[in-house]
Amino acid sequence: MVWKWEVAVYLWLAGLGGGAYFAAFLADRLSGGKYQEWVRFSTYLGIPAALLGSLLLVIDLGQELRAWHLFTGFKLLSPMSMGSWILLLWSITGIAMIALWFSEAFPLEEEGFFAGLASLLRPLVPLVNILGWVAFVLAVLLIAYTGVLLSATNQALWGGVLFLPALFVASAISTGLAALLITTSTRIGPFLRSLFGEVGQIATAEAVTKLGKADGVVMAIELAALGGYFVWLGTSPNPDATLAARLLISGSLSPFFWAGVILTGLLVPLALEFMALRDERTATPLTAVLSAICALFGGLILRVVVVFGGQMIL
Amino acid sequence: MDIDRRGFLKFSTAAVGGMLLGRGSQRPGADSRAMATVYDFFKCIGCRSCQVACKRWHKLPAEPGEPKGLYDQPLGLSATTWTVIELKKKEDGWFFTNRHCMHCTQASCEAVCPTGAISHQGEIVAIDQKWCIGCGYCVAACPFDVAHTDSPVEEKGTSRKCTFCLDRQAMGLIPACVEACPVEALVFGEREGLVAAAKQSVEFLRANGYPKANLYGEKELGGLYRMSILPFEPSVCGYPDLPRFAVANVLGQWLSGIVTAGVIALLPFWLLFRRREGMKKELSQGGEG
Repeated sequence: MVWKWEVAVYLWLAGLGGGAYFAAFLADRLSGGKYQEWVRFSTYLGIPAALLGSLLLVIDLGQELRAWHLFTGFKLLSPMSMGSWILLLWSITGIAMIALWFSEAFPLEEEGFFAGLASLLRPLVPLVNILGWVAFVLAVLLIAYTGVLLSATNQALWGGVLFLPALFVASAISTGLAALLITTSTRIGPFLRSLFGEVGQIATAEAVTKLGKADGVVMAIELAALGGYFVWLGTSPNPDATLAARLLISGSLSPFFWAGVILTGLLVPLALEFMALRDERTATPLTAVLSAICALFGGLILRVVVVFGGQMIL
Repeated sequence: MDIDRRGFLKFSTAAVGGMLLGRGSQRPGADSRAMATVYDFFKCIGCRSCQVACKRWHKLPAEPGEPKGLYDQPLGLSATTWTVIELKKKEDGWFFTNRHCMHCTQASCEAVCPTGAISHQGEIVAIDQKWCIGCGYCVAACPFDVAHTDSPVEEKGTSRKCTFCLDRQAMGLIPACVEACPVEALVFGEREGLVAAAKQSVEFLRANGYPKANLYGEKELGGLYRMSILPFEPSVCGYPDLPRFAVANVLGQWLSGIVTAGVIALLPFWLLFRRREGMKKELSQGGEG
């Protein structure tokens, strides 16, 4: 088995980071700038998540010190080459945005190295708007890449399966929304506001409920993509693809798949969301956080079963 | 070298395409004049001389292990076993197959390699061990499960596989496995001639008890440079019936992900978060935030 837990966790973290930014940016832009703080939360959390994931990926290499070879050329056909560049550019864009936000919030009257740096960067603050759009496009490519990476192979569970990128995109956005929900519903949000400076209003309970509803719809799309994924595998002319599907549905990985991905990751959060909607009330923070934790866990287990399952049938 | 306008256009299109899509990834078809090998199961006596010669020439260590009831040892390919004879059992008998890198014209390993460490050197798909980062993508992409990164010896962690004895061929020698074969079950020569001879053998076998005999590698993946005469359908012999170029529909895969993101942007984000008219009024009155 050449790709182990590091790759599974990396795919989860990169998806989570990109998905959180995708969700926050869209919510903010579509609402006319109401959720600027979500964009910042998703960047503060997404960039470290993606960098941690990249570190895991480097650790997983056979020759870690040669990781820089990835950045000596472009190969459009190689998803790993494109993904490395997308991840690098997305991280640089996110770090630049954080630096500009930092310079904007830094008190003018202070002196010292950081004050000097802030005054140097302050004229560039208007660029944040453009960088935000660049980061959005890169986030879409980043979350798509996590699925394309696996489907451009010849492993029975991954190879050529068009539903795999769709599934991973839906799961990435779901986990990203879950991370945003946890941030806004717990003390993590206020902590980040105090750390990086405040902007806009703290999200209302109504706004947080909207996040939960959005996650519910995304999870339903994810469930549909999962269904399409298994139909694809089941109808594939490659007999190993059916064996691979069975590995998840009734084989050695089935407990993880049914309990982790389907029950904990999709059905429990969907049920919690449905109950909140039925009662026509806003989700309580506890319900929202519980549902989000389940979605995050399910997203991780999905990567684990797909990454490991793909290498168990040759 | 003289080059006409059509030739120049062809060359420049190929060069630009190569840059965009990855050097040498989209090759037109196998070169009939290039050197290739054909393995004939009907002649093979399973002596494993090819395995031993490969190990000796490339200084690859032995792999101790249990034979698991068959007389196969090692059981399969690895980073330190680049060719292996496998005994295949059927209800009504048994036969041998020879596993090694097929040196595909459309090489998935080369296409997905993110650093360009894998490239075609003529007909040979070669790995630059000093440039390989050991990411394992070629391992996942190879339709024949040939490349491996589990080397405990030199260039630890990098991907390793049959080199088609690139070094020997450069010296005018034939591959070590071919040289060692005592019964000419492995033959080396120009691809065109080998294919013609192999087709005759297949015809003979089909008329003499092997109706499903076939030449594997003539057309698969643009043509393989290491072909095999198989007694039965490829899947019965341990080969994929329809080997797939790993990046054959990579554009569709990217689109699948991007379109899904687009659908999710509309449903639920546009539906839930879009600015409504009442809100627009509120904003125009200075109530933003």
